[in-house]
Amino acid sequence: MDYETEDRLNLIQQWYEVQDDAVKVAFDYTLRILAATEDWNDSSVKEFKVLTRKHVGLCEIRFKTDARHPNGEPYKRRFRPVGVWRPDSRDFVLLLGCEKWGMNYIPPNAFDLALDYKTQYFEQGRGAIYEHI
Amino acid sequence: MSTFRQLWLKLTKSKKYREEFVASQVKRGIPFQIRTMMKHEGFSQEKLAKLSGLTQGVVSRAANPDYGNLTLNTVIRVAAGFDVAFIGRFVPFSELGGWFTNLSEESGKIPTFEEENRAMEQWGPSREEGDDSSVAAAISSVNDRYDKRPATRMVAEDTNVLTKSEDAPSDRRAVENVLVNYLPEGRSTINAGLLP
Repeated sequence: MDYETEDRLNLIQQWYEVQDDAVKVAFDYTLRILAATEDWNDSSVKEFKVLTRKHVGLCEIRFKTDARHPNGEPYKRRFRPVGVWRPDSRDFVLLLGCEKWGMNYIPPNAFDLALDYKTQYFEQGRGAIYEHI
Repeated sequence: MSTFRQLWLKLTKSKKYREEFVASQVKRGIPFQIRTMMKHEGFSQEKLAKLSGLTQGVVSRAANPDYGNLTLNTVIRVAAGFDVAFIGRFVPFSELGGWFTNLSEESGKIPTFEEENRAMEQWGPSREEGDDSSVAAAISSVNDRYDKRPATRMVAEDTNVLTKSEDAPSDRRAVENVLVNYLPEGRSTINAGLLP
């Protein structure tokens, strides 16, 4: 599911639209695999992680894509779209997209922003939820 | 993205997306299937490695959708470890799309050769005569344990892009393939009877 703010901002969709096709497919396929997975807490499930400490209450989707440096050397791009997992209703509400670069994140405040959306808007019933397309 | 129509619209937008989608099917779809098969069989990585003649590290990577460098040789060894078949073949996008939208852990329930063979043995002497009722009973026996979904069904009722597709679970289709090939005289009868 995608979260859309009161002023109709769908941050996950905005993030998705500007990604290249390799990232779009990897994201779509990862979501499909998770949808087909019965127990997201199983230790073999690497595509999902519950965040702790400062960002408790949030979860991240985890996937990588193959990329190459300008000199041709291959490397992995790592992505961490953030959202709220609701195991009782078996759904995951995507709040925004995020890429991990070394120890940093793009956007750098992604998790703080996601936490703000969760506590100040989503949990207050503000905004809307739509099926992720 | 949960429906065939939504996937198909994405496939129509870009050839690059289609290429990447095929790559993901191999790089992510096969590891997911290995993972679910391990779960259903109760196999640890070590056990599958031993049965496959691979190292635990290779099995770990083979079950990791992010690894991205899975080789056919590894896939063949993993199939041997599970004692199941593997079919790598070229297909139209509609078939891949149908498979993707129906992806589930159930699709990881693949009967081993031994389990199939036990079902075959229920035919008794009549199998040499091409007795369709015995064949149907054998299929039913395997299906009861693995999957009760119909062999052919509407992929997405809300789409006019594709109205019908072969999206049978691979385990059932594999069993049917064995049975069909086992009875050359009965091929058309079996197809007509089992694939509406």
